[in-house]
Order: sequence, then structure tokens, then C-alpha cells
Amino acid sequence: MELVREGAVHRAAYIDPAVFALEQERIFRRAWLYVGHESEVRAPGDFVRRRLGPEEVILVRTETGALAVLHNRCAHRGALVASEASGRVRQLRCPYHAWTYRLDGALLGMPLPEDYAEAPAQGLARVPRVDSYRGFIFASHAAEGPGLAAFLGGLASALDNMADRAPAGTLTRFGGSLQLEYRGNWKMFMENAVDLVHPGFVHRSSVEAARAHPEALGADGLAQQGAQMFLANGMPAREWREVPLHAFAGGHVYMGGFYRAGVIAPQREDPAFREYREALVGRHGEEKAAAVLAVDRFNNLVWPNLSVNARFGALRVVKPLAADRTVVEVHCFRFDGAPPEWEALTLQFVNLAASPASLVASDDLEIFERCQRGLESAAQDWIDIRRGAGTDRPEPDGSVRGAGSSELAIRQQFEAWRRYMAP
Amino acid sequence: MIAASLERWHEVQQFLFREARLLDERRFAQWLALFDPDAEYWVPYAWQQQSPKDHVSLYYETVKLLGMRVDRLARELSPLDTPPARVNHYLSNVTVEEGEGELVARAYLLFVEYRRAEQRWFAGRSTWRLRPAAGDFRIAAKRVDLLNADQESGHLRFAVPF
Repeated sequence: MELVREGAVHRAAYIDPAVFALEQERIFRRAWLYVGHESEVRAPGDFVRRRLGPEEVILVRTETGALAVLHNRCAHRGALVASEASGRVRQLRCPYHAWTYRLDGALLGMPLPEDYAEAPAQGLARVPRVDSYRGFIFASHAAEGPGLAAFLGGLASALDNMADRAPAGTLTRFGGSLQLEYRGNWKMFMENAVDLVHPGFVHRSSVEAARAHPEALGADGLAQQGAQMFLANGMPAREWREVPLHAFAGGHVYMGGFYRAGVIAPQREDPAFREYREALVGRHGEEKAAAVLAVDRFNNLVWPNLSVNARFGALRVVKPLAADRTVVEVHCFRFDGAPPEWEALTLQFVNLAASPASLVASDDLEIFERCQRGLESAAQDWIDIRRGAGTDRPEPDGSVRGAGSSELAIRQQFEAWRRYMAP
Repeated sequence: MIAASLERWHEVQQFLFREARLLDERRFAQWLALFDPDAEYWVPYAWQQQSPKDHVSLYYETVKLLGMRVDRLARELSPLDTPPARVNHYLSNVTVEEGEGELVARAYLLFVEYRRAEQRWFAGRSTWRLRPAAGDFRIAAKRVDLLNADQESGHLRFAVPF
């Protein structure tokens, strides 16, 4: 059954477990998926446990300094080999019968090898393709397909911009990670992140709370940043319409920035920002530093499941667990060489915008769950995604620009979905 | 720090029970008024987290930020809090130590929340720094360490503070 047609998508795309299973095979076993950052696995033996689409994996730096993504499943009885979230090891060792593996997954040994007529040779299964772009490591369960740069396409610019914002030239993961769960379909997060009509409604409670407390704008840094973030969501609809959307092949899309004032503004005149700008000029020269800082975008989505906020040093990885269950994992990055204020800005951004206790994201997640419930209704099968189609402006490179009020991003994501889901 | 007298322990415990009741009864403005203006409210994300400034937190808020948080709940406009969650804060194992001009109170917390079709609960350890003030106390800092703060499967959203 066709689930996507011109301007509409069938509700089964969100609620049907069979569709979810097919998505896992055709999208999450085909696309490049973000798995980690070079700074998390600097030295041989450094590893992090991750979920890569439907699979538990281990991202590890091998003895030769290469990157490997291994299935976290002992070749013997199937136990998780790594149970810690991260660490540094000399070899990987299963806790069950002590089968041991080299860092590239090759089987090193097991107890009582003489009990086998023929020695087992199977090591930890490897995810066939691993590559990194500007320090961001991606892997693909598909042995063949477009390379990482081709996959990223127009959204490589988001990773470029984040990396370019580090005066020392490198980013470093810091501050742990947040995991928030919702009982809704994974696509809702990716769609809502670039739906610019909802904030005025869904986030009205925090907008009004901030408006009622103008003194917060002159208070401590946490309250200031919070108030500025909440107030920004209260832009009138006609101003949201002016926030640009730019969508690319593959379902990738970014939205322009909408933070204008105070500590969250893209350009500032305070001493900390001047110091930061000088450090950036020291690295890139005047012209490029100005260009890097001039990039004012908010959510950059690498479809199917990565959201990049370059300016605030935050990544969100969307992990589909079932048709109606998703976990979003949030990672923070330090812009190496930036003044210490930047770390605080990032942590506070993440606490305020992406924590399970966020005054903003929590309302989005609640709405996703209501959509999930509502879409159970058989009264109406098709979901309309035509808003703003008349404002789409195709570019010569095949990308499409549109008004912030448009559902362009959702249409583009479903175009990619349709292509991936084809047999 | 020395263990507080029985009388002091009783006073502090009554204060903590009052704080819990204000949250449970959604008397948010009165709850906020228990905090000193420079107080911080912190629910770490990592177990035994050392600082809110080098690691993400579930909550890390000043009184002014908390003010917006509870104002938002009081408005009853938030999809998250519609219908409002009903919560109980159960405190036990209360200990009180006295220091120079401040007290440290510790308690085990059981936080039970009911909303719509679901009841869920969280266990934690709460720590308050309290300042005696005119026969009463003011909260200088409150920290709540949830046993499962960093649970691998993530958290559904939170509304009423711990």
C-alpha cells in the first residue's frame, strides 16, 4: 500500500508496527547514522556503547588508531560484551564464558579451546561501514551505498559550522548525555523540530510565564537565558513565517535562527563574546570568522535521526524503539579554545530545551503522545501536509527553500522516506 | 556540623513536611517563597554528580528561573500539565546537622505521581541547606538525587518539581 501521496501521508506510517519494522530494515539499516564523536574515542581501547538503528553496538578505537563499530553481541552465547556506557580497555571480554576479542572484533581466545573439534573463528560482527566527517562519526549497516559526504549533502554545512566555531579547531564531547523518552513515533520529533507554527501554541505556557517575569531578563545567567529562550518562542506567526527553511535531498533540512536578543543572540557585544570572536579570528582570519559567526540556524536535521544545533554545541540523536516509543539522546560539545562561558551556555541550553524536565521540550513530547493516540482513530486515514506548498522555491542544486510557516520540511522528509522504503 | 537537638530536628522536619505539602497541593507561589533569593534547586542527572556546571542536569535552576517554571504550571496552559499531575512527596529517614548559621537536612524521598492513566514513582535522596529565619527556615539550596536519574531508557517528562 502506498503510504505517501501528494500532500498527504497515511496514519499507518506512524502507528503500524509492520511499517516500523520495515523502516528499521529499509531506513535504519541503509542510511548513515551518527554513532559518536572522535573526542569520545581518542586513544586505542576507548569505547562507547551506542544504539545504531535497531542494533546495540560498540564504537571503539582499535590498536591501529582506526575506528570500528562492533555489534555488542558475544559471538558465543550472545551476551552483551560491553555493559558500561564507555571506558578504555585493552581487549573486549565477554563476562559469560570469557571469550576475548581484539579491539577490531577479531576473536582472540576462549577457555578450553581444545574442547572444540574445530576452533571457532567468528569474532564480534562488524558494522560494515564507518566514516567520520569533521570529527563526527557515522556508520551504516549497509555494505554498499553512497559515501558519507554524499549522504550528508547539503547538511554537511551544519557539521562544518559547528566544528568551525571551535577556536582551537576541535570539539570535545563533555557533560554526559540526557535521554528523554516519549511514547510516540520517531518521525514526530524530526518533523516538529522544523515545524515553526507550533511554538506559539504548544509553548504558550512558558512564553506567558516569561512575559509575566520581565525581571528575569535582568537576573542571574540561568534565568536570563531561560527567559530569552522562552520569549523567543512567542514570536508572532508572521515573524515565524520569515524564518527560512531549506530542505535537501535525503530529507535533510535546516531552519534559520530565531534567537535575537541577549546571551542567546548570534552576535553579541559583551566582553566574553569579543574574546571569543578574537580567538576565532586568530584561527580563521577576519573574513572566515565573520562568515562562521554569520551562520544563524537553529535545528539542522540530518535525516533520519540527527538534529544538530551548531551554535549551542548540541546534538540530539533520535532512537526509534517501537512505532510508539522513542528515546532522544542529547550530547553536548565544548568549543575548544572558547571562553568558559560557552560551556555554560551549552549546558543551560540543553537543560532548558532538551531535558525531560524542560519547560519547552516536555510540551512537545506530550503533544507527540496525543498525536500517537489520535492517529489510532480510523475515522480519517490521511494526514494533510500541504501547508505552505505554494511558497516552495526550488534551487538549481535541487534543494528547496520555503517559508518558516511551511510544511516543506515534512514533505521533504516523507519524500526521502518514500525513496528509502521502496523495495 | 553536629547532629541537631531533638527539638531542632522536629522543627526542621515540620518545615520539610510543609514544603512537601505546598508542592503536593500546587501552592507554588508559597513553595517558592520558602527559598532565599540566591538559592539553587538542583536535580543532578548523573549519580554522585559533583557539579551542575560541567555536566547536564535534570533541573538546575535559580529562584528566578524556578519562578517561571511554577508560574507556567499555575497557568494550566501547558499540554504537559493538562490534566495536572497529582503528586505526593513522602519523606523519611530525616537527619539534621547544625553548622555556622546553616543547617543541612537530609531525607529519603518517595515521589509518587498520578496523571491520566498512569501512576509512576521515583525514589531519591533530598538534601537541603537551610537558614534559620525568624523562627522559621529559608531554603538556601535543595538537591534531589534520584536513584534512577541517569537510567538508560531515558525519562518521560517531568512537571511538578521533586
